[in-house]
Amino acid sequence: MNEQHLKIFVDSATHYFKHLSNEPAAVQVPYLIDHDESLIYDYTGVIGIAGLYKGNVYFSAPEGMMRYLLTTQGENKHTPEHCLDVVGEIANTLAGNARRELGSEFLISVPFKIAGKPDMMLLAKKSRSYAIPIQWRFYMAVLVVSVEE
Amino acid sequence: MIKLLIVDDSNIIRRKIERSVSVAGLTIVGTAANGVEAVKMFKQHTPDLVTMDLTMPEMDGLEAVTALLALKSDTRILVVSALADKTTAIEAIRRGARGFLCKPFTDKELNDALVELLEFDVR
Repeated sequence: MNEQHLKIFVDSATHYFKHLSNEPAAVQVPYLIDHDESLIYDYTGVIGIAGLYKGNVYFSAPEGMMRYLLTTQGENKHTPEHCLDVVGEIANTLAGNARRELGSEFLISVPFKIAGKPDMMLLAKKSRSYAIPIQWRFYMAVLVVSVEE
Repeated sequence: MIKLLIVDDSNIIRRKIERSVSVAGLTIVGTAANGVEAVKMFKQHTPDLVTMDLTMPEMDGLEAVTALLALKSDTRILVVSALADKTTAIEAIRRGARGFLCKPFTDKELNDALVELLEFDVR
């Protein structure tokens, strides 16, 4: 996993916000986390990666950000199912762009979504994972890229 | 009246399309959350136009495109998906879809794509 690969995931996430709201998301300074660290908010969209590289990439965000995104799209229903749908769409965008940009070395799974906070996410053990904080309006989310060869 | 069926497993996307469509003469006749529901709704309403997601449970969008066109071959289908890779788009078109709109989309992009689809047969 090199810088160019990371950039594809980061650009996909920020593109989603800019395209929907005309307000770009700000990427904060990335950092490394260990496989046993839990970094997760209220709603999470996950894509699995297989092939030459293995692991997962997930976008996790607080409920407030999901609600604000719903409002931005003109949606007045803010149930947990609606919030899950939003994070699912973000994960769909990540998966779609990854399939287009990364080529056949990466097999990208259909995204799945999680409401609430599991005890921990399954992160790569052989190498540390990248955590990229993403700020949109008043809210902070995180994109975690956890992939190993 | 031109009848539109919306197919997407995401409730917010179905509702967003319902809210966003502002093409004159177009009436939404139903929404479906997967390919199986889409076939059922299609038989009930025989829509002229369908917006079709690809990644759905039970029956995915590509299978649904084939199934709907087997029922009515002149149906105009707009694939609306985040799977923007060339292979997927080509496969959708090969199966008979007539347009491809990438998620996320704006209201204008959706309406422009629908108008283009309506004009498809005129050109």
